[in-house]
Amino acid sequence: MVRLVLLRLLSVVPVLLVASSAVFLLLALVPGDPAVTLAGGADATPQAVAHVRSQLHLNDPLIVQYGRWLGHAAIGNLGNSLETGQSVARQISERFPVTLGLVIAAALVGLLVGVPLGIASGVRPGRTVDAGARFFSTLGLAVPGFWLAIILVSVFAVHWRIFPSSGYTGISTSFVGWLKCITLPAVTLGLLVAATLARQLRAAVVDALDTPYVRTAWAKGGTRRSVLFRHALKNAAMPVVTVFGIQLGFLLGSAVIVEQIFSIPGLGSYMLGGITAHDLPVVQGVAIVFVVFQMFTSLLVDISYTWLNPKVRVA
Amino acid sequence: MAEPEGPSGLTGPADSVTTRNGRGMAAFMARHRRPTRFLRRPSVALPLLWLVLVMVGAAFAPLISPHDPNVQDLLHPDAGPGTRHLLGTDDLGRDVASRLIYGARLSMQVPFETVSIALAIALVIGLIAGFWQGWIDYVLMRVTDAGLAFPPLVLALAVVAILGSSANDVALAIAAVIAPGFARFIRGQALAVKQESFIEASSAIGSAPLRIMVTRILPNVMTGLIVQIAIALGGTLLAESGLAFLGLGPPPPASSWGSMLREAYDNSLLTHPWSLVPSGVAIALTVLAFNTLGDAIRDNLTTTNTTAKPSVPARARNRRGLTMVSRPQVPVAPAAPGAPALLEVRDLTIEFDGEHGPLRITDRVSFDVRPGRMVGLVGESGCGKTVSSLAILRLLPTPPARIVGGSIRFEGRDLLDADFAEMRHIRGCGISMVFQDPLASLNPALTVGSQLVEAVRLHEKVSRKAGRDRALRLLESVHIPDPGRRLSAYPHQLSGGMRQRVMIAMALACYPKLLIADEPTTALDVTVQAQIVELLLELRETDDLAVLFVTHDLALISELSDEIVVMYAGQVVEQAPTADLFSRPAHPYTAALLAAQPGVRSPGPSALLAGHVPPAGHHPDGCRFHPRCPYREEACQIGSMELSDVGPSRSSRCRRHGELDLSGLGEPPAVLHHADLAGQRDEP
Amino acid sequence: MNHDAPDRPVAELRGVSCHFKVRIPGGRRGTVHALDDIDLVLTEGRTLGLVGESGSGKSTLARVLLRLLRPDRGQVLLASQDITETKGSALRQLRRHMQLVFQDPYSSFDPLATIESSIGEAISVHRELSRSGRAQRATELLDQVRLPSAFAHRRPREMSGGQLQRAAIARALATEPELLALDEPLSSLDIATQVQIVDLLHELQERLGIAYLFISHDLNLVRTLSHRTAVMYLGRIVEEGPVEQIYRDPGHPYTQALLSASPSLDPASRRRRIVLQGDIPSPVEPPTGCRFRTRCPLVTAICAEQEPPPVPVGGATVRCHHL
Ligand SMILES: Nc1ncnc2c1ncn2[C@@H]1O[C@H](COP(=O)(O)OP(=O)(O)OP(=O)(O)O)[C@@H](O)[C@H]1O
Ligand SMILES: Nc1ncnc2c1ncn2[C@@H]1O[C@H](COP(=O)(O)OP(=O)(O)OP(=O)(O)O)[C@@H](O)[C@H]1O
Ligand SMILES: [Mg+2]
Ligand SMILES: [Mg+2]
Repeated sequence: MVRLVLLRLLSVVPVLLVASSAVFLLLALVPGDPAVTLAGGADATPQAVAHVRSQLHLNDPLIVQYGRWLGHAAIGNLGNSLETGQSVARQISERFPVTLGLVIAAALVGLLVGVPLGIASGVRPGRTVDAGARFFSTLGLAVPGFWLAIILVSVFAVHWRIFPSSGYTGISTSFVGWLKCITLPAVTLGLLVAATLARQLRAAVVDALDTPYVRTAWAKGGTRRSVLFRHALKNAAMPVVTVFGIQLGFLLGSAVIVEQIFSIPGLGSYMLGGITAHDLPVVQGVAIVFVVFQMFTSLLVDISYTWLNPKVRVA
Repeated sequence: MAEPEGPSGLTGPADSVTTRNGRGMAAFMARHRRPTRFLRRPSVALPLLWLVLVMVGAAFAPLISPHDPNVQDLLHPDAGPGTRHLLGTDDLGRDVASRLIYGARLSMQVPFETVSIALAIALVIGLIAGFWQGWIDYVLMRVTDAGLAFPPLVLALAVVAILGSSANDVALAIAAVIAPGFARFIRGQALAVKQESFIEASSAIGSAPLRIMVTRILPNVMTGLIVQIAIALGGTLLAESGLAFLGLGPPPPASSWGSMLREAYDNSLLTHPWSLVPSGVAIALTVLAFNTLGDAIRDNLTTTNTTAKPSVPARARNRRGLTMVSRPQVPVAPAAPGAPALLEVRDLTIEFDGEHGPLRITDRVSFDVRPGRMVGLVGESGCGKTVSSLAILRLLPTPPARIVGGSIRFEGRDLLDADFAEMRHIRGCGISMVFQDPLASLNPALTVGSQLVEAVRLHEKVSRKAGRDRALRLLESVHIPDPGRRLSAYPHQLSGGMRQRVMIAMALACYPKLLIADEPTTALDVTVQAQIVELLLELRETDDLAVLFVTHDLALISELSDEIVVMYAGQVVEQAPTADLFSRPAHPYTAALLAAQPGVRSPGPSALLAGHVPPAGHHPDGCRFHPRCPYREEACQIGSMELSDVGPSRSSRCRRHGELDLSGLGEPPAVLHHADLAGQRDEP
Repeated sequence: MNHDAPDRPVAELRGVSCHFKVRIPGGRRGTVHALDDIDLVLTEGRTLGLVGESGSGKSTLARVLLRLLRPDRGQVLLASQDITETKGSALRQLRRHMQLVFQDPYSSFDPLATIESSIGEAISVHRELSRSGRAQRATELLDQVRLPSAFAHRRPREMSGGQLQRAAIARALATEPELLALDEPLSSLDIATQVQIVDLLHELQERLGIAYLFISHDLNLVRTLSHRTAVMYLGRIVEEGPVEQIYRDPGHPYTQALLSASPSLDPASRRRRIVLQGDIPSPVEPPTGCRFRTRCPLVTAICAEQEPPPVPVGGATVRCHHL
């Protein structure tokens, strides 16, 4: 296990290198010019644009620009936003906890709803529970996030006024306040996770309950609960954990829309602004966070494999 | 089998005893009929119907749609459903029904295209990483990590900037986003499948890695992957609307359901909520169809017998952990003479779903086990010993199995009437079981110790510590070396014999009254076997333990058991006290079995060496043994044979038990050397 | 049997050791000495019976011999060629010449595949055949092991233990190997079927000169089938020699005890049992010197100090200080 962690740490730098260069390249391909925006929009004079350009070194060849960013990043300086001039590192450190909180809350919603649903339908495939769960997951998968958000807001925020419709309170300021403003976004994001987990868990439970070792568990006099939770679930968990790990990454990436709708000052909206403004340091900075987060979750997932299936050894 | 099998028309030995000719052909046909049976299920037919409908609609859109999807009727925008516009109009007055039909084109194309592209990439990466592991896995998965973390927006924007925003480009963009997730999933599943013994078996055969990946790992990964595919298909329908939001959808006149939903949301959500309904419902129905179909295909892949014709109504199925009983009427058990039996099995009849309806695997099996007695259950391989033993604890899965007749009385209580709670208390405490295949029957993910402790703690309120001490003592009692260390070993780290002993220890954990042991000593060397036998005999003395001992080892059972039950082709053919059975077998099958014993000088080639046992469902009329029986008569070949008493606590299923004297055959040999067989060989 | 090819070695183990790293309670790591210093030769057209205490390393030996495991020390030879370090496609090319029937038949079959598909896989490794040709060959193989052709379309779950065991044998025979290791291949078969399979194995050996490694706990069966017998105890081969000599005149005290414990239909033979005292020691910390000394009736001081060297006795080799 120690070896596993060390090996992973070793790979962080190369992976970041690859990812950041890919981000850089692709972003260069996306149409748009930060200089034009900064110089005052479409009706800026060419002189003004040229001035901004040379100030920001945007006339250098791409590779030089990337090299410069890399040089700074290597010593821990993620640079300043082209657009606002603020330190990217500072912005990220302020916004990351916000998004992380949202992701964790959404993941919890996903687990709390998805796992019981998946188990219930896996235990009785083809029965009413199964059909009901499938119907629910279908809704979770078929209703677009933006729509779901609107429905939730109109019901819980506008009609019943239980939760605020938008805005954000830091968790350190007031936990209850945080909880209130995070609930609707978390549910919006979490239902998709719940639907996915429930589908995958159903399949895994159906298969696991059909094995000879589960028969042994019945033969021992196992209760329905012990057979399900001790014997079937541990063996069924592997694909579900994989999916959960993937979903965590997706949550981070797809927080954009929800953060926009609920005006939460998280990484997603920061990233979106960066992309539309062609703000390279911002996009790169956020991408680094995403990559590190993803590598961390996939390490956790791989570690869980060795526990869930003692025969599996992961490098 | 003397029957043409498939197109080859291969015929077996002339003396073989199959019943109906052309059965092979029927089996062949059945295999090709399988899809129809599958397609006829509502959970398959309905979603399939919907998808076909959508696709046909998309293909013939110009013929079907009532209006031109792009003609604007600005006088009637946002109309509700009506006679002129079946599903109303949108904010520009375009006919929604027609747009829906045309939109189906993109909405069907993009998901399938996307998922195919993503799968193609992910399968290569995932299978390679999962199969080879090591540094290949390390490198591929780090790339996948980067891919997973890559901001989808940047990717989508870039793809569209490079390629454009046609349907194909959108598909490519979405595929690039979902492929890493697929790859990771496939790799995770492949990692687990790779560790299964059958993969080792495949590589031992010499199969090339590619072949193993495609024919062995892929199908086993597929059972989980189908779910992901179904989700992705549905997700892509929606992702498209997300892209439309970024201005990346197909250029305006072309419609898709996703973009329709988006437009309705943007333009008329609050004023005309109806406008969300048509596209929303179309998307929801399609997603539901993908999921339902995905589940059905998946479940069909993994169910035991895909060709089987289900005989149980779907509602009654899947009673997890309890075999279904559907017997016509509960038989009144006659009071047995003498001491009451601990276990009384009467007329136990079990059916499995087969290709052409139910297959009768055991037919009216009856036997008794008295307290403190050891009863041997012997018989030809495949005659139904395991199935009968599992039925006693109601452990056969329904479907495919069902108990259709008879009774199983344990301490006077009919287990076929018992509910789950009652059965649970009997399992482990009253009756416990040692399974035939210890490796598969032990949970691979739990240590031996925790499985043993569980067996104790399910029935007794003891602390974890006390449970562990008991587990240790149990392992000691079955003579596993170094028991302390073995407690924390996983089943795959043990040798075959140790796993078997762990099973035995687990079965003895709660001092059961009856132990059903299905070939419990096959992987044990004779010294350990003797120790286990000793243990059982000791428990019999101290705890009055009764044992039903399924075995092929007649020598062992002759030393051990008080009584023997002989089965043939799903029926009990003889039950007798051990000594009587060996000295005077009452059924020709028993006699032949004894004569086939190594070292026994038999008076000619054994009857058993000729021909196969017909599989269940193809037993001959009359006495099932008659085709191989040297004593058969005309009358043996018709009707059905009944088990009848042939002496004190003896019964036999032979018409001629009175006339035949089979005693000479089974006499124990004077010397146990294989003189004749050994003599044929030249010693080096 | 094959008279004109005397003792051509098909496969050989030289000084092979195989260890497993395991965790032992208390967080320490231990080493299971599954095989230690094994020398073994399998010759063409001959059967080597391998018997021994449960957990002594028989299955591990078979897996090392077929190079499913890499030995920690020593050499594995196939047809005089050292294959200890062979890997990848080179090893795969050799696999068709050596096959293994696994001890747990159920787990060694793909649960989703039909028996025909599993056997077909082995057939196609051996030779190019059309789909229907493969199906026909699979049916033939099944017929050889006395399984009706209907079983070709079954999945492992739908078969009894003995039926699967026979399917496993059919699969191993599909590549027409020169070396066939059978790990408890007949343990779930009734005696009549056993006799039929034994006849089949004899006949194939006669015809094709296959070398068998026959692992079994059924001493009568080993005697019937094998030419030479090796006896294992705790990762070591303690005695190896011609089958009749070992059965008639076992040299090693463990062999003597083992043979005396064999159950039989003959009541007279039941009384002469040598009952071993004590339990089998842990393979993590095997006894010094002779590994059998903790249970040996003949034990003396030297047994703990020195490992007994192999001593030739007649045609056999015995590792014991007290011969
Ligand atoms: N799911 C199933 N579908 C169809 N047939 C089955 C199924 N399970 C078992 N059978 C058949 O039922 C018969 C009885 O099987 P069972 O396992 O009881 O045999 P057995 O007497 O234990 O044999 P063995 O000694 O080989 O273990 C066999 O012919 C087997 O092929
Ligand atoms: N993967 C493994 N990890 C750890 N120990 C193992 C592993 N495989 C086998 N062993 C150990 O190696 C020893 C030899 O096992 P092996 O399976 O070769 O015995 P065997 O002679 O075949 O026994 P049996 O007759 O019971 O099948 C045992 O102590 C076993 O616990
Ligand atoms: Mg069986
Ligand atoms: Mg073994």
